Amino acid sequence: MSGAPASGGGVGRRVLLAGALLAMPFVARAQGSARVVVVGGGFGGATLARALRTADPTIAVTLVEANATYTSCPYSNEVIAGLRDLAAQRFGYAGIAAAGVRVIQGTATGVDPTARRVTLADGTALEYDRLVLSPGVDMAFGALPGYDEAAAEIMPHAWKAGAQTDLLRRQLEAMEDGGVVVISAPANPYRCPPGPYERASLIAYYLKTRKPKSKLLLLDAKDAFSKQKLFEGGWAALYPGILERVSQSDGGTVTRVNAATRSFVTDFDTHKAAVGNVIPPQRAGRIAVVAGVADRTGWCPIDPASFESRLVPGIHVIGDAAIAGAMPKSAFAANAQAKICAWALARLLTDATPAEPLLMNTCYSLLAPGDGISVAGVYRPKNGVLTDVEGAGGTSPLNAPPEFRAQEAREADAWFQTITAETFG
Amino acid sequence: MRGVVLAALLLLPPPGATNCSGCHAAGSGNVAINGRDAGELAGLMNSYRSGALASTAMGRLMKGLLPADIDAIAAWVSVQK
Ligand SMILES: Cc1cc2nc3c(=O)[nH]c(=O)nc-3n(C[C@H](O)[C@H](O)[C@H](O)COP(=O)(O)OP(=O)(O)OC[C@H]3O[C@@H](n4cnc5c(N)ncnc54)[C@H](O)[C@@H]3O)c2cc1C
Ligand code: HEC
Repeated sequence: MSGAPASGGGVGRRVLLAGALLAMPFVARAQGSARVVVVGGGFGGATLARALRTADPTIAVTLVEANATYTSCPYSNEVIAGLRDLAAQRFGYAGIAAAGVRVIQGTATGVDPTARRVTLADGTALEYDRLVLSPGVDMAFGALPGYDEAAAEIMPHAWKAGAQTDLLRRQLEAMEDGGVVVISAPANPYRCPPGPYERASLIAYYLKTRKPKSKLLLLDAKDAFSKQKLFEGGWAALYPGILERVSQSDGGTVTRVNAATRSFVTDFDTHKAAVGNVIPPQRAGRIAVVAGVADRTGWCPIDPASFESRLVPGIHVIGDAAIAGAMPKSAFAANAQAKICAWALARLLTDATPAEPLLMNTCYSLLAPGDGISVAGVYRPKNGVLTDVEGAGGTSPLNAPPEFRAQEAREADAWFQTITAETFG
Repeated sequence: MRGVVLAALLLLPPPGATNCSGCHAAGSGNVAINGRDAGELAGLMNSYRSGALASTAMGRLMKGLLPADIDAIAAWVSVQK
């Protein structure tokens, strides 16, 4: 079943290439170590590279990452609200290299699934037995009229952490008290379902404590959203008269933006912002399209036991780029998927079948500093799709006492420390 | 070192076991679980699952496991470093 055609094809190719006649299962290993190339050193790819070295130290693992340092999106909303330094978001790749992974700084621009070769922008060619793509998301510039790379320099998305995060932070700092901050949130699916609402909460906290005459308007292309009752309860208690959300039914869908006037256009209205944060529609990172593993939705269908592409054998997709059923596009999920994929690769490369997976996710959000909420899920494959285990998961209790919320905020910190250490070493 | 690696290879993680390290590590603020007694770990996990032990996250997560999953995970975690 899962991955069987690809593992057969992969071994078959090696046999042909070597001209060997021994059609035995362990041929890939007999001819030297199996090669896995990983593209993207974020929460998915970096975790996978290290986990694979643990699962089977004989596999030669190469990690291709465009940037010299990674800047984490989790906790970047705190940076935007002035609660945290951007430097605390940065992680290097020395720990991954120390695990015996060959780390190459470069951008993958081509994939030849037949020759099993990845090419980089500088012309380097890397051969693989199995390829893993964890490229995260691209902003779908063009999907929202008026929003392109140039517009993002005026109305930042800050949905990839780094310069964009810093830009939004500086705009908020420079804004005069009494200004209106507008955030637009996209329809599903997109990276980090509760992210826009955590961001709205923490910007509202900044306004309340530093610029109390200002307001925040959240224009939403959805009616329902993650941890909705917890967020709405928190907003009513903490930010009345400051934070207003307009749902899809009430005309919240933004149909066009105008960077020159910092305006958001909806069916009924035009909202002019002092600071405008556009969270645009997204799709799998470009290399997924190049490799042919993205479908018409812009995302990548996978087998849930191995995360092997349903479209191209020998290529696995994890993290935000994958269509992972009920699992959200989160760093927690990318890390959990990476470990499942690593053990599955170790099995596939020795012609064994991957185990049945059981995955978990937990996403923490802050309503204010020290005020944390969470949503959890447990997932098993059902008819080939990762599905919520009934009776498990769910959100933190509504109306939890402040001590419970403070405890969850501490656990969020502990999670971030744990996951970044596990991912980057 | 090599022995540990081999042991890890021989003992494939049972379903669900690789999720735990996303939250539990020594010195992170969340309590460390690796290398602890399997019976003790399974006991705590079952208590979260049943609700006998109050929790923030663990109860919600353990409800997704069957008793056999819990025993297998506890055994695996107990031999992790
Ligand atoms: C504001 C915000 C807050 C968030 N908060 C949380 C949170 O609290 N908890 C949580 O679990 N998740 C959170 N997330 C979601 C989390 O950031 C993503 O789900 C996670 O980063 C996905 O991991 P990934 O490996 O799929 O992609 P990424 O982490 O984006 O990594 C992709 C990497 O691939 C590289 N890359 C892409 N293409 C190429 C190429 N062709 N060649 C070489 N390198 C390439 C990129 O440079 C990048 O480093 C948040 C997101 C945002 C925007
Ligand atoms: C989302 C983060 C998270 C994940 C994932 C997670 N835990 Fe926990 N764990 C916690 C927290 C937080 C506590 C403290 C109890 C609570 O939930 O309030 C805890 C407590 C525990 C305890 C009790 C330790 C003690 O000494 O009191 C055990 C045992 C445990 N977890 C085992 C596991 C195992 C095994 C897994 C994987 C199947 C796991 N945990 C996955 C967050 C997590």
